[in-house]
Amino acid sequence: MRAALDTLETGFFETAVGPVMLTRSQQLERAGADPVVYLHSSGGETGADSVAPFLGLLAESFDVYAPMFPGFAGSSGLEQIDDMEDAVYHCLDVFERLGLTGGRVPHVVGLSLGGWMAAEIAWRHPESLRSLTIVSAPGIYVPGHPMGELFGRRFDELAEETFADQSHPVAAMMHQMATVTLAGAGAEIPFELIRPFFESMAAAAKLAWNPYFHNPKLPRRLGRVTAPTFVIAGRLDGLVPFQTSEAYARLIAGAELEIWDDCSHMIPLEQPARLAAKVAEHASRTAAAAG
Amino acid sequence: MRLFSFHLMPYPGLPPDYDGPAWITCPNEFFHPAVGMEIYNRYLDELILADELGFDGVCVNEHHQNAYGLMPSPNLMASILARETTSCRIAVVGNALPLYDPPTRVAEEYAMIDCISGGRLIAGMVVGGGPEYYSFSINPAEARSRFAEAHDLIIKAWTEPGPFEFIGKHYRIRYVNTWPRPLQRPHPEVWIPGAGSLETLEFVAKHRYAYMGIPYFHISVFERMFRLMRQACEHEGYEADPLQLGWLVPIFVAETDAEARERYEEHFWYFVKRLLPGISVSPPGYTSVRSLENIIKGGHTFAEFLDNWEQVVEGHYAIVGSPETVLEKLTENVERLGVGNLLGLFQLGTLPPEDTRRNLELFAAEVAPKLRKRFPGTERRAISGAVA
Repeated sequence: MRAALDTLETGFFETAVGPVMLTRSQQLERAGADPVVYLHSSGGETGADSVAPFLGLLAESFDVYAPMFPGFAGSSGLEQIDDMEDAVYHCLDVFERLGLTGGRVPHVVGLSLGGWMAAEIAWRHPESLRSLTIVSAPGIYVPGHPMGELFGRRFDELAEETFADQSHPVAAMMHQMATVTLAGAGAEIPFELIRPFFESMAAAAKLAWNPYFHNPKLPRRLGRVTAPTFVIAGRLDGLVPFQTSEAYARLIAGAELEIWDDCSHMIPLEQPARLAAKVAEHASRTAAAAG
Repeated sequence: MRLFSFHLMPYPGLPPDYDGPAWITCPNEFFHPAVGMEIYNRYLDELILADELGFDGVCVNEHHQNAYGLMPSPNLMASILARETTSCRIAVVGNALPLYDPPTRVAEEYAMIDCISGGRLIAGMVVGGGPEYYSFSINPAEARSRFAEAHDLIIKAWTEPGPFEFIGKHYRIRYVNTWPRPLQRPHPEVWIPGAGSLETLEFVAKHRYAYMGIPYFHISVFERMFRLMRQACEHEGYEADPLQLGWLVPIFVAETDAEARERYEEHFWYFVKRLLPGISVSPPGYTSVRSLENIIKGGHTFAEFLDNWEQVVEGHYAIVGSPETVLEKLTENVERLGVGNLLGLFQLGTLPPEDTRRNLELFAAEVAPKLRKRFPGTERRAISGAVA
């Protein structure tokens, strides 16, 4: 896996709303490698961090592009984005600037907020993606199974709700951060430590504060999606109930659904190999169907 | 020096075994309407008493879905005070502009209060507390821009002839034509409360309004906040008037220092340990990164984290003692902070009516005259908007 990590590089990329951070495969347009775009969650994971193993594995068979959304650490332009519609057109702008159109229309994989964003792209411009994989995504309000609170929560509580294994390095770090309180450490908290989290949440809030992580119109739009769709969720997800994924699968024609019993919310972080294999399998079936 | 009596109108009856926040999710089954009937009327009496005792003004404020302060509509209170008081200023500190849609509602209600009171309104405008963005589900990422736009709309409604069309990012109104208009011309004095957000300080300095420092921090945090405010005024090319600065602080006066602490301390702790928890929730996007960094510097001194009375005294979280002690400490801090408005909280937490009344009377008789003598020259002068 280490070799795979080394195949990624991260840098600035110019978009209509300003420069954003972009992680991508070092070698692009390799023979037989389709492009895949990864859209991150409210946690702002891309590049050389927690999600790198997953992206590295994808890079073995795909040209990987993982843009950091405006407002998330390093990416500018949030002031030009008010809502999910603006987000969709920002993503389409990124696709076009990366040349991911025509023969290079990408497979799109999104986690949580990014999965919802991918679905919003897919109904508006069905031709702009080759396949759709949405993981642990909110976006649909399912009566009786509302999404939990993300904003203003303690890190340790969020870790409990989003990781199946509390000893995962990111979960462990969240437990560690919860022990550092304003009262205890006060001025000694290095601001740079909390800054990325603060910025991520502010950017996510702009898209998802109200309506809270859903688009009331989405259920009656999803019938427009034509991309082969794979929906996946963890039964242990304490933040976004897996019933939301069931709703996606019901509303998108021909969608495949898998609920993984031993998984929680952060599947790309906790199950990178298993998920990367699924994405590859889904993509190859898509290619076979198209071919 | 202008002296104000500020009332939060707290709920004194949270169950002893409840240890959750007093905000957002504090169960409203804890609110007993019979208690509400008693305390609303009592608290109004306490503000009316301040007018009778010669305070320059009384202050009310707006908070929602909490036990800390029971004024979701401070304008209802201010309209009562407009009739029940005779000469004091009525400072609404303030209306949380982003919670009003359209915000011309604020222009209308403030104009009504100003007319009814004979031009005694101080028009406070505030972004709203962090908890309110949860309680109203208003996007905190838009808090600052909504506030700024609502402010512009209100001032325009008061100062430019209607009807006119207003086209903003958040508010689009085809016919703005506010009836009534305020009595004070061009408009009532504007106060903006804040907790150290740099954008707010710069906004206040730019418009030459008054900045009211939100309390419950160590005195050094206020020093820093007012220093930043003076710098912001300098940046705008003028020297801050002391009347542009207000210090809000709990005050309790009794015959002796020992008696004051004896009568006051438990009520202070109810306030700090029961009513403050939850107030400092900061929803995502509500504060800019640079302001958050600034606010966090003083965050660990927030009163909620206090453990003992010695810390209260050392940090000047509350000014408590004999008339001599209170005068001495207020003088020291007013000098240190350079403020021209002192906003005293004379009732706090569970402080009962008889103690509140005695506190106000002793302050008015023994402390206020000497404070005024020590800090002369700023009585009842308005800083923006001429008094009618």
